[in-house]
Amino acid sequence: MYKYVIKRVLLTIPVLLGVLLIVFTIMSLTPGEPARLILGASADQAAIDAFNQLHGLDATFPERLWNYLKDIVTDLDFGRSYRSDKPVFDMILGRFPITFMLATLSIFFSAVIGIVLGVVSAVKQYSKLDATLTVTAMIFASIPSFWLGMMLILGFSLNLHMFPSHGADSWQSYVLPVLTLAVSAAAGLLRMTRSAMLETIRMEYIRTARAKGASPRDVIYKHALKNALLPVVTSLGISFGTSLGGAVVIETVFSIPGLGMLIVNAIRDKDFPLVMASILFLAALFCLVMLIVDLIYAFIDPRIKSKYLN
Amino acid sequence: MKKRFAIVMTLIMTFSLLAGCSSESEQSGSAEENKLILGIESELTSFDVENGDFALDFVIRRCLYEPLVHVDPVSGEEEMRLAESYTVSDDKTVYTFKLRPDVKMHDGSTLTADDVVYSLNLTKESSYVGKNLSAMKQARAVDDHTVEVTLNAPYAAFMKNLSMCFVLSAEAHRAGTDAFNEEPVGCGPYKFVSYENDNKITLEAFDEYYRDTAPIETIEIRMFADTSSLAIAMESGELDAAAGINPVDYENVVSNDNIVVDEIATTKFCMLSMNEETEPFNDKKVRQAINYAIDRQFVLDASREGKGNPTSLLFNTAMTCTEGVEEYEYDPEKAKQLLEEAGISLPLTLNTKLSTYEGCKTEAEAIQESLANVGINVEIEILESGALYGGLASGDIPFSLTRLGTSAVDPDQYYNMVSENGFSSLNYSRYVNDEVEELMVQARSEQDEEERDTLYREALEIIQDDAPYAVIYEMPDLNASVKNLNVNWGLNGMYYLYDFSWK
Repeated sequence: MYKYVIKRVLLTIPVLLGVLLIVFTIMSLTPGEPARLILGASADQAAIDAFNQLHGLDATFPERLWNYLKDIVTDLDFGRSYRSDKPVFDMILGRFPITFMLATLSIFFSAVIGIVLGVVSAVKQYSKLDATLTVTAMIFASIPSFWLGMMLILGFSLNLHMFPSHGADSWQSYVLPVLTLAVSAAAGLLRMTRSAMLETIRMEYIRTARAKGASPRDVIYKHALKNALLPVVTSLGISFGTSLGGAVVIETVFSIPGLGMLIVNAIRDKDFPLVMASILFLAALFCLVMLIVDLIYAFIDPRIKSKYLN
Repeated sequence: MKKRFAIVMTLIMTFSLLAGCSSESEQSGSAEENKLILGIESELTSFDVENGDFALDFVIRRCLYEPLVHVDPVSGEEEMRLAESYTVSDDKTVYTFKLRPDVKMHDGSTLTADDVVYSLNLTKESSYVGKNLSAMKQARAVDDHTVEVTLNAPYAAFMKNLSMCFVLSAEAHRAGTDAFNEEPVGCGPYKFVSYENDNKITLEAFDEYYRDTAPIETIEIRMFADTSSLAIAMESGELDAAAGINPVDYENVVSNDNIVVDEIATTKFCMLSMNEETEPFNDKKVRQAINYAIDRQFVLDASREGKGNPTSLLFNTAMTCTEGVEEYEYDPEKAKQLLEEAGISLPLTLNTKLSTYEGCKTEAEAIQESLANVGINVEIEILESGALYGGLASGDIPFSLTRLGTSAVDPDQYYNMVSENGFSSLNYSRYVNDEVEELMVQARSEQDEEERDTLYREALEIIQDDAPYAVIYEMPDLNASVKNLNVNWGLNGMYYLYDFSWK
């Protein structure tokens, strides 16, 4: 098992290198100079030139790439933000806990709601409950998350004064954003769990288990769900990975200072060091999450477990 | 079934129990606690005096730090602050400031000339605010309480620009900018308490401030990413004041009986640029025609709910030198006549597109309609701001719609828009006029206020006649506050929270 883990960790390195090259190239090729974006429209040529010289932006593309890689490899120096001159990892790690909390809570609640209701829907297929749940899921999956967020704010913050409309100070300020994210994700999970369960329930071994006298609860949870979970777990892992950096819209609507906003603003400024470090961080995190998902498979499915052990 | 029902009901009841707890301190609590919760739609670059030019960067500087002198942006009236007096040499290039001896820093030390010189040098080297001290050649400490500033050449607006430069503790800053940003030290009316989660700043009144202690004891500044979220937070009572309400949210916010919304004049304006090196903008009559063709009030109504001042003057109308200068009134017939005189056969479809960014899309569409009414058809092109500015700097974009603002309320701020020296920065229209150049350079060092006014007015009249730009409107800031808060929003975003108090 350990050999497998180590192998996966080593494989992350070429992945990150690839990400680095792609992002660096795209940023260099797209129009717009960081100097002009950060210093503003009224900056004169002298200020622009000084900025470019200070940050080595007047060098050629291969030179800049080489310098960037060299700094990382020799000093583990990922640079400082062009705009605020703060060390990039300080900025990223400062914002990360909030985004992490947001993503974790949303995935947790979306999993609980989505999987439980998906199972119920599958087991009671064709009933009124199933129909209601499926339609509700479709509605929530189609509603844009920013609209849902704004509606929740209007309802719960403005009219009922139950929760704050912005910020990340108290646990109450997490309720509405988590609800918004969780509901959208739960809708998708519900449908996926439902279809995976329906497929599994039709399997012969389920019929055998019932024939052997296993209770309905055992059949659903111990036999059917466990097997249906594989695609669901993959989906959860990917959701978690993307929500770590992708909750930009929610962060804007709720004014939560998270990683998503940091990255979007950095990209708009073409703040190379910050963009590169943020994306590398997220890529590394994503690889870690997928590794954990793969290890979870081993717990769920004994066939996969034996494959790893060999 | 019963069990499931029971579980669901328990969950609902628990949820409502938790939800019943009130969230943040209610609005009425702020006045009793002598605290101000200010919401602002801006990011923060840093707590330094020179690193960054976001709106919030300036608000913080006016809380934590002090300028040498405060100059009223329009009247030019000077109020001494850190400097108790100053003298100017006969040739108007050397300013000598005598500092107050009783100014204490937040860490207990006393202000000395070293702090002032250090801060001025920091500011001058900054790529963000260095332009405020572009006239300064050098600053030196004559003794512990005297600072001598030498200019490159006489510069009439120097004191106005100096009032936007702030002094921090040299000793604390020398220890390193990262450390300084954890615990900024200045001599302003408020001192730093905390900066949490990248979106909440807490400040406390400094009781050893050299003037009266600030009326409001605690200030909490909350940063918002979105103007609508800011407006909602204001409406729901979570904020006592909100700087930067969008016109779209204005009606909702102002309909609340407890909230007052003030319109504060700023130097921000929206304008079209027309590159004189490209056809058909090389003909003055065409540029003038475009100025007559645009229904400015219509553009304002369409894009900003009418909140703004429609004007065609390049210099901000708050300045006295704009008095009496003729404006371009909305006159489509005159526009068509001018186009005919220029030999243009209507309808004309322009080869170049109108380039702008996402934020000005509605204005662009309204302008497109105005132009179509006189027979000029143009396509709109939305660009990323980086691409737009880059294209304008290199001269590749002949027709653009952008918004600009100036830091000081002074005509010299527009020099780069009308001079050859501004070709790679603000002179989007590549406008050159020797007479204007001469007048503006002369006015820059003219010390007599009235004479300076006359020179700028002359220059403006020529500029308006040449019409290198078609200015559309000036936009005010919309700032909201609760009824029982005394506010003083100043002008152009220059407000001191020191001036705020509870009734």
